Amino acid sequence: MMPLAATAVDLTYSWSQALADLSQIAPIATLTLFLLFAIVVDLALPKSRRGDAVAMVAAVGYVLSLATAFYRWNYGDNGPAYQGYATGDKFSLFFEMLFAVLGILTLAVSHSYLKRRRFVAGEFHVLILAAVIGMMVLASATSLVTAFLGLELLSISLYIVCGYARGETKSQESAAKYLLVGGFASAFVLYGMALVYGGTGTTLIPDIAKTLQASSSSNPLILLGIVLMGVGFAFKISAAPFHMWTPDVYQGAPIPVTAFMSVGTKAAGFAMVIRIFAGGLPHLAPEWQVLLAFVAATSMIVGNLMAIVQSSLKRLLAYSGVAQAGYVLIGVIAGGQADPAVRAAGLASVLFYLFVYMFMNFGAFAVVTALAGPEGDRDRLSDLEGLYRRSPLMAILMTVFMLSLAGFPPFVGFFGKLFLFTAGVSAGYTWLVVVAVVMSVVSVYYYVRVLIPVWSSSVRTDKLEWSVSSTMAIVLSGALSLVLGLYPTTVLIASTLGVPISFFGP
Amino acid sequence: MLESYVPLLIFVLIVLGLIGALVTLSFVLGPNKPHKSKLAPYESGIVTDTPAHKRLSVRFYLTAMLFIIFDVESVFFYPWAVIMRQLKWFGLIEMFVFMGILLIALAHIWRKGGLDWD
Repeated sequence: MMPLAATAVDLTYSWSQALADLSQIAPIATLTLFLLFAIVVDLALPKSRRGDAVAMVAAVGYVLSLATAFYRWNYGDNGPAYQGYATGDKFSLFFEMLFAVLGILTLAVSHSYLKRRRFVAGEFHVLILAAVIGMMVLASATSLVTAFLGLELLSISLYIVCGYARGETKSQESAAKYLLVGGFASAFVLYGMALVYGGTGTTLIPDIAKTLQASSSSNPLILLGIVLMGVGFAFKISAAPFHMWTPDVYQGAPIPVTAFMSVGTKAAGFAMVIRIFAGGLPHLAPEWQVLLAFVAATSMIVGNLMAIVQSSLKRLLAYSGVAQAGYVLIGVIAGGQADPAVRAAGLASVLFYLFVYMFMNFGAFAVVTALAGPEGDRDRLSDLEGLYRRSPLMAILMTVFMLSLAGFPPFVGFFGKLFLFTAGVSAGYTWLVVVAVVMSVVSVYYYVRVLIPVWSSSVRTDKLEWSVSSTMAIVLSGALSLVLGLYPTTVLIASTLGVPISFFGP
Repeated sequence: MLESYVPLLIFVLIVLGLIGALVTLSFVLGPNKPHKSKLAPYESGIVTDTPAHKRLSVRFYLTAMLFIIFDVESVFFYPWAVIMRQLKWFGLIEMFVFMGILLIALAHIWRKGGLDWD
């Protein structure tokens, strides 16, 4: 009989080590503390004051988390924590800052929206906080287990907020669909992770890379694992042919949720794709590049062609999101090349695009948020008619967002696409870039089509009610879409710094 | 790189062709005599006589779900208890933090009426 505990595992965990580990994930820890505080506030206060108080707590949490991440970006010694299960490197800090900003934008837009539609505000903010924490965990995960933990925290919170308009059948349908499809996707990811673990004997991403480097033969277990994880990730970033849920879920969910989800899940999904595929499986890059190239080409073609025929703005932006996922995948594919320069350019272009995509896409959704009445969202293209009379500022900003999404210079969307496509060409995927450019031309049609009702006259001339917070969020997004387009280098430098050095080592 | 996937592509094309051929052939050659009972959602099954969208009480599910959540969380106590002495004070405090989070969750459910039966 084997003696139990034959090897004595050292379980001592010193206080200094605990503090060092905690400081690596400080932005996440800060936000988690505020999440707990928000729940307590939601319980303790009388009903009438809960919504505002929880929103305030959430706002302070996001700002402090952003400040912590910013401080650590400049002054922290960033590295692995918790025995390699998580990390506080610049890559994770980049995404943590992105998600904190997204949290602030969502809070600003949703606050007045929830009041107008008479939704319970407290739990909404708590759930969005939880989703943001999930995204941050995903970005800082360096183990397959931690990544899955973040993925589930993010997904489960979103399943609930998708069905937040409980009286509406569409919202219920959205939540149910997202739950079922998201469950499938999680199962695929988990199965793929299990196979990779089976093939390498470790769940730590750097160790996976080392193991694969040592074994020259390609293990079919790991290849199957890559395919399954790729399918799951494609679901999460809503890339074709795994995008079928996107339009229905986006349309049914309340608009602030759609705005949050369209940007957040995509960025978090790409953070995971980069971390696992480019960071953990660089030696099998030719295998997953083929897979992602297929997914990218399908996404761009299907997304752009389907967006043309939509009459609902939410569905249109959902299909545009499918297409955008295809563009971003080009950068990820370039990030798998062996040449360090091409690799860095590819990954930096992805980070850049995700950062600027947040502002243009969120801004577009945020404008639609303000159109919503007490009875429901108004997201048909005809609802935008006469927007320039009802609110000239919003009409101008909507134009900025649409032109930026379509990739017109001098808006930032142009530079995002430019960097992605350049990286794709230098990685040797010219055919993919040709598809992308052709499809971008197609996309101009439906982005501009949105602008026709905005600038056409209508019988409705009543002024729109704009809350201060959501106006500020939209103006900020619009200003950044323009200013970052004029000075794209600042974000590009940050994106380049955000690409981990550890990715370049053998 | 891409070349090694050509057999897969051929395979996919053969599969698609075969499926298409079989469906088309059975559509063209097979007899087609529709009948009311043949077109029913469950052919030869029990005909549904009430609407499927029935309202059910979710109280039981809620209680069961809450039980499972706390049950699963309490399982974490077992591995901790086994190595409690080796973890020393740090492990103890860590577990109090965990219990504190659980307590907030319980208070939330209680206050929001998740434990009320009526």
